[in-house]
Amino acid sequence: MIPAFNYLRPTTLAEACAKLASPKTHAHAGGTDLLGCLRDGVFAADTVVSLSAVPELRGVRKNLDGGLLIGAMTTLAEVGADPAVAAGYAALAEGALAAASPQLRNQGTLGGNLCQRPRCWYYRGDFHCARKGGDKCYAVEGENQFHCVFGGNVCFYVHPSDTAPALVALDATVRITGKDGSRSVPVGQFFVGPATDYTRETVLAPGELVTEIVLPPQPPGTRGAYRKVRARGAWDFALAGAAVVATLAGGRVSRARIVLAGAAPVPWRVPDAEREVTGQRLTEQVVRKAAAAAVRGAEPLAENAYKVELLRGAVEEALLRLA
Amino acid sequence: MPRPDAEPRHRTRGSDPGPRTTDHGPLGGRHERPDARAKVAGSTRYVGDLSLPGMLHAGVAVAPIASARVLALDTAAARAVDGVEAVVTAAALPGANLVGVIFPDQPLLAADRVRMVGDRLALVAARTPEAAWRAARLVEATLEPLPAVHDPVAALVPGAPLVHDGGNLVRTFQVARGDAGRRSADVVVEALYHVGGQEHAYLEPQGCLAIPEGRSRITIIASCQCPFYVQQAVARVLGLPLAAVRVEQAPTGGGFGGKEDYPSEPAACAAVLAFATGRPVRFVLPRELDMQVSTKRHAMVVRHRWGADRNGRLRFAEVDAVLDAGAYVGISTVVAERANVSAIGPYDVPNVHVRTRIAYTNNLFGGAFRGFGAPQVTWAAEATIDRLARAVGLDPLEFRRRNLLDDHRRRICTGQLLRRPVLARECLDRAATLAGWDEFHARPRAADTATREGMGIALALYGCNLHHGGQRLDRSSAVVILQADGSVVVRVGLTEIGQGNLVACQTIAAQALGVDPTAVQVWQPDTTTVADSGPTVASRGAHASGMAILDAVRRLRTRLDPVAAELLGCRREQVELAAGRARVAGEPDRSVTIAQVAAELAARRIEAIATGWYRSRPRRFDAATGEGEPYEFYAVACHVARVAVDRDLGVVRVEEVSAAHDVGRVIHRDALEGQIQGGVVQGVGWGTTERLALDHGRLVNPSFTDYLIPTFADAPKVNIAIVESDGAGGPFGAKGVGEPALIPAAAAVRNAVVAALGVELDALPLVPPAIVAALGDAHPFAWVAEEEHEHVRSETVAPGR
Repeated sequence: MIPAFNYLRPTTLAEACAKLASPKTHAHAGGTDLLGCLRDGVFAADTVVSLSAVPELRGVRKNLDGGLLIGAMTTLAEVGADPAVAAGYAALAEGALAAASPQLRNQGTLGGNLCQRPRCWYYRGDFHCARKGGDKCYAVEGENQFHCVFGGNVCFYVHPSDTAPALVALDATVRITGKDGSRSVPVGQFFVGPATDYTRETVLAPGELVTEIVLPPQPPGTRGAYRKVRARGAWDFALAGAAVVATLAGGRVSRARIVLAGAAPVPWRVPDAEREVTGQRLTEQVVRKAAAAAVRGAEPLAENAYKVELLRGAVEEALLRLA
Repeated sequence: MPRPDAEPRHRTRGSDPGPRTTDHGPLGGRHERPDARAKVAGSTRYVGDLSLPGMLHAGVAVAPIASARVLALDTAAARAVDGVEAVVTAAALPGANLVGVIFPDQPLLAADRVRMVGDRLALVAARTPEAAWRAARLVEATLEPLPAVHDPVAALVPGAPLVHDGGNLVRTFQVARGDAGRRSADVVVEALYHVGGQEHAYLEPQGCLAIPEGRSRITIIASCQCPFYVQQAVARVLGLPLAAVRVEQAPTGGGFGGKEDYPSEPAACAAVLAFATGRPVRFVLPRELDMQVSTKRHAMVVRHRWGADRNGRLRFAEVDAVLDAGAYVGISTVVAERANVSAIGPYDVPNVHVRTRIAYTNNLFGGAFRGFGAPQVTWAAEATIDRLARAVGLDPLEFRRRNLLDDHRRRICTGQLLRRPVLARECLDRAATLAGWDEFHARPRAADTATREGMGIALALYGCNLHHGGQRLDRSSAVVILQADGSVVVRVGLTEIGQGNLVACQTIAAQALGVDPTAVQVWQPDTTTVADSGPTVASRGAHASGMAILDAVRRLRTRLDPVAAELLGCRREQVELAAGRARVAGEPDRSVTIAQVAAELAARRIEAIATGWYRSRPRRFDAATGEGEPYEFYAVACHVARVAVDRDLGVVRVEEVSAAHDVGRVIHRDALEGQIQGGVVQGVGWGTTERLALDHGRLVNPSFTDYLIPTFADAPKVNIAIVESDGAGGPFGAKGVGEPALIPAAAAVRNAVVAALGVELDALPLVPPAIVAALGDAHPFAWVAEEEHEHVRSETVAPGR
């Protein structure tokens, strides 16, 4: 059961940020992750601040530069169904629709999807692990089939989001508002890996909120895709995945972004793989080389070497869809 | 919330049953299940919905490690939590500190020794669930870790840490037949299978409500499959006579075996707390705890050595199986008995040696689960059959056809002769036709694409009802009351847990009394109204309760028929009941309604209640040799699965399962089809995605987010062929189907995936890591035997922990 907490529903962003500056206070967007964490005692909340009454956080709008602005409270279902997103940002639309289940997508938001807590059954379970202040990561010598093959350090979870890899590939920016004002951070720099600081997952400071996702206009000839590999047909996190965005001119790739999902504690961009396709036609041979480059340097744990194969396969499939 | 519009159709139809029934009666039809509307509308009240004035909530403190000595328990902090009314440890129990159906190896509360994660240390009753669980977490246990054993095979090696003082080998079951056939085999297959366990994933977690009457009597409302087990367990821990313990069956949101033996434990806990506080106590397990502490399908390690001649006839089969019982026996012995009998499947093998051993470990607690040991050994047997078929170069169907039991070869490994007709061949043909086996294999398929298709087949021989070893439990009780208005009350001792027992009993009673099913109200068991009927398990619910109902109707008619005969002006032997009427046989125009007869019985103060009783036929069985008649009769099932496997991504999609079932006679067609669909999906989940991830005996994925049961996106299309026949011996000739519906499904999927990929897979479930690993060191069928006496050794995948 969920322990009791104070529940606030401010109507302005400033009020929300002010409330959120207090300790043991958490923002409530869709709640699909937060309430589970509270119920399972992963962390505790004295106060939960609902963002549902702040009007400007919702919806997809055209930006002045021709790109899109997506409010953080826009649901994954809305993002997935939005014609402008589908037309210009296919990788994001596919990522949004690959997440969870229809019911959860109706409730879960894009901002919340980026701010999910680590998906690790030791962290989520009744284990006093390093991330919760304990002295070890249980996954290192435990059940680590679903843990990371890149970027692990002290803590070996994978980032659970299906939209974050797409947003990194799209060079999107996160708009953040705090009680002292607003700032913008590229999505690629929004996430904090355990090698930098294993006590948090994002750059958000207390009292700060993700308010908006800024999608830049994409050059003509840009295509994107998100391939998610999962054991179950719905309501399952990525075992592996790849978000790819490439601009093609005259049949050749002029610019590419390849970002792995289910691979690392943050969306894992693989520049080596991007270089393999840049200036090339997306032939099977080129795609295979890029996929091999994408997984080079992977450091699997005892039970998750299979992920390397899956990541390679996901990159191949996603790239071939752009050809 | 009950909806006002939920029931009216029932009432309308119930008030005027006559014209809507046909002479044929409801048997085999699809009338609406009596429990369906409330369940769909969400108005069924499960244990978690029940509340009483002054009711307390239970919590439990459990051991976080798998093996330890209990040095001290400090409950002071727990007692200090606001709202806590009682904290009970082993020292404070009023009766025996013992649960467990067969072996006295499991305490209700651990006093000095912890043997599994989740062993109970202390019970808490509090005014709110929050207080109860907070207090439970504050019970301070000083535990001294002891060596633990987590591999059932390692547990049997001398020197392994002992789970109980008497050694880790609980029991050995064996059956042997013939011996010399090995020399005549042209091809021999050896394989080692690691078959994983399974969580029941009933939607309603374990729960009960205990209502004390002073210190002398108690009522338990329980979500369970056997109110009589609960009654016995509660009587024992409270030190009460059985008659002072009343157990009412609550609407139960799924069981699948998980509520056979386990509910005795929470019920005993709630009862102890109710007596300690003098107040009603509700105990509902949170999902995570439920998954950790309740019973699971046993993980098994199965070693095979089977041989066939070059014509594709099986010559011998040696099976050596080890069940991981976990820390307590529970009903593992009975599971092992069924595994032992089921290990060869519906095949005629002249030389057989099966050994099944049960090992204690410090893992999750193995117990009853739909199929009861048979799915694991079936998975192994059907894998080996496919290997042998490939080794002799025969189509898997043809190989099976050459070896299936039939009306002429009907002796199973225990020496028992199956009753005719033996329908294995019929089931195989029907399933293969439904699946389009020949068309599928005639179609060209690209070998260079990432996605590969495959089709696989598996059969199962299922011993209906309880094994000889549980024969004393194989009886059942029913009460039938004809009300003055012609409606009928039926009480049975077997439970509705979602499988359809209410509608089955309703149909059987309606058919026997010649009334519309809506005239019959079946009530869930209550230990004060029916005699001990044993557990609702072993696909025996409809059988055992149906037979008792038929007996009760027979007895009721000894009083009903003379009155009807008088009203009709005929002899009592001429009275027949059909279409809601009593009528003169052969003269349908001479009739009165059943309601008129009932009114007449009431007017004359004639006893309109009858009890019925069923007990299984006594059988001969030698437990030492395994020879004899372990089950009264048998059913055959055949599943054909079609899969698509992504070679690069290791993901299996089960597209379609075609299931043919030998059911004797259909009682209720919707319920039957529902059982088959549900069984197939549950079997597919077990075979493909459901993996119990254990870290030193602790389940790290105790949630439906991390333990992957199939969603609708994963459920295959299920094609169903019903094979009917006479002579099964159940009510109207019906045989149980609850378990056969699951047993071959995972094996058929495994064989389909192997056919798709061309590599053997010897560990269940077929999760992506297992498939990627198998493809990584693949020698696609390199071992197909071409020489005589070539021995084939399978490379086995390392077992999961």
